[in-house]
Amino acid sequence: MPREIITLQAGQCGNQIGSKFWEQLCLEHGLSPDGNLRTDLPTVGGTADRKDVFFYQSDDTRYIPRALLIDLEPRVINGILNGPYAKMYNPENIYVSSDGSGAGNIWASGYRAGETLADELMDMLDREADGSDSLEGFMLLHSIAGGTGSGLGSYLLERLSDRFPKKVVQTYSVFPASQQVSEVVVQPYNSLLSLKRLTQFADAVTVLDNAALSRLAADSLRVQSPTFDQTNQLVATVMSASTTTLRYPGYMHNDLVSLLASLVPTPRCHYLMTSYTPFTADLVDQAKSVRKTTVLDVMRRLLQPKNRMVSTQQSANSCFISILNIIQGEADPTDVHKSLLRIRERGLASFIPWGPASIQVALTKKSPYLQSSNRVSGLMLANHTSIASLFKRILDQYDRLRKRNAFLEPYKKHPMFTDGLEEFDDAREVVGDLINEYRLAETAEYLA
Amino acid sequence: MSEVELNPSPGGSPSPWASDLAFDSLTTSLSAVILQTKADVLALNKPPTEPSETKLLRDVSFTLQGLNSSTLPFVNSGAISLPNTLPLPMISILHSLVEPALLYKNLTVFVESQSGLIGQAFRSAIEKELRGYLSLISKIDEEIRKELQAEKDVPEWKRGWSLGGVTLKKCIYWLRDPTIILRLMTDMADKCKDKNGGQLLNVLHSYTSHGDPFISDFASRLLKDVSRPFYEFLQQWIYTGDIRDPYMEYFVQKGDQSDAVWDGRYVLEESQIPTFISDELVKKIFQTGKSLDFIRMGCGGGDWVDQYGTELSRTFHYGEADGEIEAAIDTAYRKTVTHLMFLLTTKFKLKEHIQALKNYLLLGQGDFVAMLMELLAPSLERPANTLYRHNLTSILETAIRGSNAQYSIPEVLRNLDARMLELSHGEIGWDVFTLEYKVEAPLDVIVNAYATRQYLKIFNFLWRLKRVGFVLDMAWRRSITGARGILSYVKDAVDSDWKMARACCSEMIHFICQLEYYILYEVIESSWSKLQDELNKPDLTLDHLIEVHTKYLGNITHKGLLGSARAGKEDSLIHQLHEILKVVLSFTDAIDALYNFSVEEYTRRQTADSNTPGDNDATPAIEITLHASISMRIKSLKTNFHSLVEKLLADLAYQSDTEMRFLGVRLNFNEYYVVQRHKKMTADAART
Repeated sequence: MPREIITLQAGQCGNQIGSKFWEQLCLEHGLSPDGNLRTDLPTVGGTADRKDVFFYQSDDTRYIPRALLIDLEPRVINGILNGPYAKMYNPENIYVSSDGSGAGNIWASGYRAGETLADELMDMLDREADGSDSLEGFMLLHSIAGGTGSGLGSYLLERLSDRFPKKVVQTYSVFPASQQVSEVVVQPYNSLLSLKRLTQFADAVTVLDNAALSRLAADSLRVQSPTFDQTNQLVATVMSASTTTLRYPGYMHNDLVSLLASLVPTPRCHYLMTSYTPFTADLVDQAKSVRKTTVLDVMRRLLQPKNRMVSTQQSANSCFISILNIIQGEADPTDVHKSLLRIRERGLASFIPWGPASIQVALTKKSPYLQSSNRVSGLMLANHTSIASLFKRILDQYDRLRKRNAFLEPYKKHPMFTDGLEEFDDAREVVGDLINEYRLAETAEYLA
Repeated sequence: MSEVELNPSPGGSPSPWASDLAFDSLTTSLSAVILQTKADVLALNKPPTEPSETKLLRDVSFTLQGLNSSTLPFVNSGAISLPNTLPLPMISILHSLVEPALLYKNLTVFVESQSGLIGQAFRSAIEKELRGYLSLISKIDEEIRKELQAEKDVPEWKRGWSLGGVTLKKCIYWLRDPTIILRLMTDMADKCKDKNGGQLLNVLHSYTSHGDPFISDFASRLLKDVSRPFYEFLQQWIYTGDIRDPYMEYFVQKGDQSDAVWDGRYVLEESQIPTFISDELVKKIFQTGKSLDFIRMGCGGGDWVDQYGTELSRTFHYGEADGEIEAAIDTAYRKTVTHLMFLLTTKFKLKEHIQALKNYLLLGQGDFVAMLMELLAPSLERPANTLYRHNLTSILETAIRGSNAQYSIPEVLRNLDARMLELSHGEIGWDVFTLEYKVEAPLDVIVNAYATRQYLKIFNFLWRLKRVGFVLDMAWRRSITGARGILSYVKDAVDSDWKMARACCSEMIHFICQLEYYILYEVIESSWSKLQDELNKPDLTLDHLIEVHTKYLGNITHKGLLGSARAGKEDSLIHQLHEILKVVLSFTDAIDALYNFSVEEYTRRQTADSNTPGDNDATPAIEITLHASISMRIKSLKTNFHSLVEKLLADLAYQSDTEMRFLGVRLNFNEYYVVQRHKKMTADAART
């Protein structure tokens, strides 16, 4: 009963970060690109890890990812299938649209494609779910700005919630880099429509923001403009770190529910931000070397906004609803203890006034298959009210676009919008409510 | 006196004066020359004493051998009657002269007395000395005989006085050193009469530090012989792990050997420890033999012990060159202790079992525990008497196969068992279920009955905590995933209840997570890493191992809030924790009720919608009452939980243990709870 998690990768971005994620898991579990256990590695007491949360074993000896790869255009998936890890995936779990035209960066096309392909997609999902003894939930990897990840992704979220009402749905959602002028002008539309689904049909959303990812990658790699490959590696690192406790079971946080239960107190405020430190050469090629890290260093850096993988605007009232730090490596509980006291004394983190909240810590071992130069590294998963500023930004951009009724034609072509644009208004309301709920969560009256 | 001396009364003998004269002669005997002359003069002027010195001389050699004679008969072994006809000086001489005789006589009685082996050695050593004494006496006797023979040629009037060569006084001179030795031995015998074994050795040893080298040398010489049985015990003990000590003289004694294999099988008899063996050496000796015995009896290592004994065995003597004994004992100790640890860790897989105890009874094997709990939960909700052992064991099997527990070595899995504690009326499965880890011989010496109880106690608490966390997670899952679907349709009716319930739920989850983290890392892991440090030390002895393992568990129970001195009392921490956990369980029931109510409300509306749209929107009265009672229940549980936590925090704030205080800090990191000043502390403050 491994409490399996099925990963859904939708769209270019979803499949790119997905493929990095699986590469990372292969490294951490000592698997070769074809899914066989590597024989060239010294045997480590290979009983400490649980591969079956994310992999299942085929009839032969190979480990196969519990992953569905879905895209409406073939470029990224073909790249994967021509790459070294091609053999690892179950070919039945790969769906590439036959016409290969893609969703044209229009949310509505992606969503519509989902509706059209519903049977096929649900078949894949059911088959994969039936292959699990004790399915814990789903992980959707996508971006919310384009067409497939956002539109088809939104459709998948609705169907998952409907079909598996009691399974946990978590997403890793890449948000657009808002500061830059986007090549996709309808990004605000796509984001808003996706946000509605993420709010209503997901239980936890890990928000990754392309701007912050680039900044972090640029900073740790010392390059002007990092490639997607490099930023995706950051995402894969974060994903692998946040699933460590599931893959290396210890006393606590062995399943997704217990991990999320401590982070998400109310159903809507389920947007999580992450920090990871230090990024080093082990994780990202050419990363600059970082001085020796201590637990206190790690825990302090995790709280610094510049290390977050999402750019938000902090206000005087913004605060943490919850924090979970996953510390990997040789961390002494006494150091954690001291660090917490230090953080508390210096008031480095402010918390909600309406309930008990603190920095929770999970200590995990590093994968025995990885040689790491860092004694300790850490991931922070945090529920912070300033995330609402990101939604506010999307909402403002949407409002500006919508006021001019710009670029609506492609949407109107699809059934959802043929009879009117109420869906937009509805989504705007949902996101508006969400922003208000976060604002309210900064006050003691939240529960009143 | 001096006057008497100067004016000797010329009266006949026997008279009290005679002794005065003798006294005079004695005082002047400092110079042999003077004595000679004076004696001659006196002999010419005084009548001979009765009995005469010749007679006395003849008899005295008998007396000195402890035999009766006509003039000096033994009244008993402790007294000789002197003829009352003698002058005082002569009496005085005889006094000195018969002392060794009496001492000898006494000692001959002593050496015949019963005793243990070391006592026997002591007696035989004395006997040997006595033989030396006798041979001296026989020499003196010879001299006397010669003298008596010669005396026949002496004129009658001089007889009895002028024995040129041998006199009573000369005898005293000859016997001076032997007398000291006899006195010394008598003194020793006296002090040792009721002593045996090490105590006896200690008495003798105390003489070796006497300031008089004559005495200390003699005592050392004696000890060499007397200590022989002791060193034989020692040799046997450290090379075979056995003692054949019929008189309980050795400092290691057999204890209760009926069922003890280690603890209490042999005991250290403090009173029998020789002072010439250092405490550290005593410990090593004790450990060595005990370990040998355990290797032979407990670990089936008799062959090794035999071979080891043959290779290393040597004899020991008192007064061996400095450090040689220590070195030999140290070698034996190291070899034995190392081998025992080697056996325990390799043949009996000690470390694997201790790790397994942590994995299973301290719930370290998270995936196994989660699966076991999930599989067991339905059965454990039912009354305890509906549980069947075979169901439990088959679920246990499933949980092992389905988790990484399956990779545990067979020796470990064989020991794992699931069973029910003794039933008492009206309990449910959760109350009586327990995991058990049976540690087999010889490791049960380490994981002994006490340790087993501690493990069980910790397991029960952790299991309970885990269960509470488990049901809370289920409640969370329902409330969160429900919000995506069914609950969103009846928002208007139940949203405020859910809001309160969720807030309470997350409060409880926070509490449980912090408590779990505390117990896992601050308590178990930190105690564990201390234990590991100890286990990896070289020269670890079994006794030390038992001690550190016991300490490890003690640490966990204490810091784990399970073992406060006031355990069982109303306000003990563990009692408070149990109260809190109880409230949480009731709360999860309440949240289930709320969920069920919401679902019913949803179905009612659906039916209402499809049947007669319009006037059936109103919720029936009975539903309203139910709803109100659920709301009330949640509200009161929330208040209850809140105040219990605040009380616990107040108590934690005044714990002497830093980690325990810090648990309080963690539970209230953002100072959400208002922690009351401790009543007792406030009272103290008021007083000062």
